[in-house]
Amino acid sequence: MKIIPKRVAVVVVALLSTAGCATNQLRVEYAREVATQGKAAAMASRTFLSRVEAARQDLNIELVSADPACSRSDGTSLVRRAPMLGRGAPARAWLCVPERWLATGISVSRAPIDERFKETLALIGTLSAYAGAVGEIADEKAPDPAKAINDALATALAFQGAVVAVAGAEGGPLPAANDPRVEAVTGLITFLTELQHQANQVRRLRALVAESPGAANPVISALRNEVTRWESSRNRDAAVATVVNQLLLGTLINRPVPLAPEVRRAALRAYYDRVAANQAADLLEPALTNLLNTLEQADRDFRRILVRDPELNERESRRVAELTRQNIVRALERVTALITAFRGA
Amino acid sequence: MATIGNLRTALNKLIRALRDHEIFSLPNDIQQAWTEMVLEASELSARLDDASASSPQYAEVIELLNVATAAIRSANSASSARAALAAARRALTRLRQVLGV
Repeated sequence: MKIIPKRVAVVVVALLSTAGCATNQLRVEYAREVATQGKAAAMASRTFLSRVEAARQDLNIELVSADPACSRSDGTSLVRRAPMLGRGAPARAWLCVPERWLATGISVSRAPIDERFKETLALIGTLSAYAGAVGEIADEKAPDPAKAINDALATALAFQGAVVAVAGAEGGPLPAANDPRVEAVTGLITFLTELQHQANQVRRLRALVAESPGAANPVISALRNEVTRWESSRNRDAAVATVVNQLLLGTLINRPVPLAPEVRRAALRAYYDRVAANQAADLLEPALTNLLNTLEQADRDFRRILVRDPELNERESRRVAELTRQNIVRALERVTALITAFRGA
Repeated sequence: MATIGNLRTALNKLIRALRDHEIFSLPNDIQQAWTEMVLEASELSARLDDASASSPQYAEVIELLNVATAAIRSANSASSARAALAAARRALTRLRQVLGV
């Protein structure tokens, strides 16, 4: 039986060490994706809620500007089913019903809704914390072994210098920091440290997920429901505000004695700006829902491949094969540099 | 079976169609009826938060809402606006019955 030459053995060990590491790299990539999507979803959700609140404020402005009778102390407005329009319409209570006629109007809430955001904000906070924790592990840089090696070598060289000075001998066995052998050894150790670091990251990600098994998806699902509910609220407020704005615009435009052109122009411009803003705001909720769907899938994939010996789909298998190939190339480069450096020594 | 999500989507579309229509140059009676429709659709939209997750009756309401939305979007005269409002009235009346409110 032939004995495997030492140099070949080093190559084989280095290559073998890379084979199982590509899946870890994929796991860290997926974790990074979850973190990125999660942070984006949390930020977009907060932005969306601010639009919901803005729509409520805009409704209040339109109602109270149109008719002072719309300003009730209990935070609601009882709007007439059929507003009083035309020449005989009064200046007050043409849109809203006086308080004593409670049965003849439709109640429209003008109450600020920030208090009722609490539950939604709690979900966003949970999602944000989860994405942050995953991201903290996934984005952590591998330790730099080159610094430790160079520090140790500098200490040893200083010691060697002192010995040479005291003994009066020439030189010593230690190479300089820029010696090709030191660089080759450092390169290989750096590479192996990175692989070890990814294995550590995966262990910590598993521990994080074990603390909250399946916790991300219920949060995402609940948040998606909240977003749908708030979108209906925003939609209602925007519609009532826009129609009230149009009623007021009608009274400005259709007067028997026309108002100054600049007044009518400004009112019409404000109306068309409102139409454009409404249509832009309509795009937020579908985009956010889409983002939450993407995050949900990313988290599901992340948890699926986080287990030992996961079942990879075709795309993932191709990615693992590519990462393995890249690792082998890097390993070969490092080992070749090592052998070349020591052959020349 | 149609879900509350499908119903909500259809009602939101009707509300948006009502919102996006230019009513300020229409006769007063249409503006009044239009306002009433927006308010009533909004009121029923708020009621959906307490509705069943799914119902075999939702599909019929969704169909009526979609017909009304298409009519509102294509209304380009006083007479077609009145016809569109009648379609919306049918949809909201049926929705009210299904929700039991």
